Amino acid sequence: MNHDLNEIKKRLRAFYFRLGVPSCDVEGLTQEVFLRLLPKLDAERNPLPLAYTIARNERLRLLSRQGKRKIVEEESIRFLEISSEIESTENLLERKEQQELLKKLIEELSPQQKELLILKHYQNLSFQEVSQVLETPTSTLKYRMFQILSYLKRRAYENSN
Amino acid sequence: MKIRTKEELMMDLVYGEEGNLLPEEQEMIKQSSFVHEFEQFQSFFELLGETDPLLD
Repeated sequence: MNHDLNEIKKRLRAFYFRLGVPSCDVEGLTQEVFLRLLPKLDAERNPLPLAYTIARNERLRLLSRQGKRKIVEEESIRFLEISSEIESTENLLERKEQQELLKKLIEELSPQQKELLILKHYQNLSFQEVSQVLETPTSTLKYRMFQILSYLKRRAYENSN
Repeated sequence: MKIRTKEELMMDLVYGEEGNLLPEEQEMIKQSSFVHEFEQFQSFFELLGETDPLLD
């Protein structure tokens, strides 16, 4: 099995960002994971589960060093307790309405905007790949994508705030 | 290497395509307004994922 290390690194960074790790810690954590992962790479095994396991442990280690681990765990439990209480029927209905509105807004995008959104977001192509498909510079695509997502985000939430 | 605009950098970050960050870009992503907008995009992506045309 030929491991794509850049792909793994990309996934790990996204994993950390999605977990809400501060941007300034992401690069350091990712490098730490790689230092631990590289000696353990086995050509016959999928490295992703091991990479994610190390990544989770490294994050906990960092939180522990920063003295935040206990606070985060307590906050998580408190958040779950509160979340379960407030996840009322009203919230679910509002979510459903947002989904319906968003579907409608996507349908109303221009064909070019919709094509870009689907290729990038739903088909999960890289900006470089979309650039080759649409024969458009990546910088232009990123700017357009930012505009599309900002518009959809603003419209989808404007009635609920 | 050219410094990315805020829009380019935001899109690269939310899609995990940021690559190596220049010092100027690292400064940009530390700003609270940038972090706030990044978090908004993350939250919005949950809703967008539930609106996948394939789910229809």
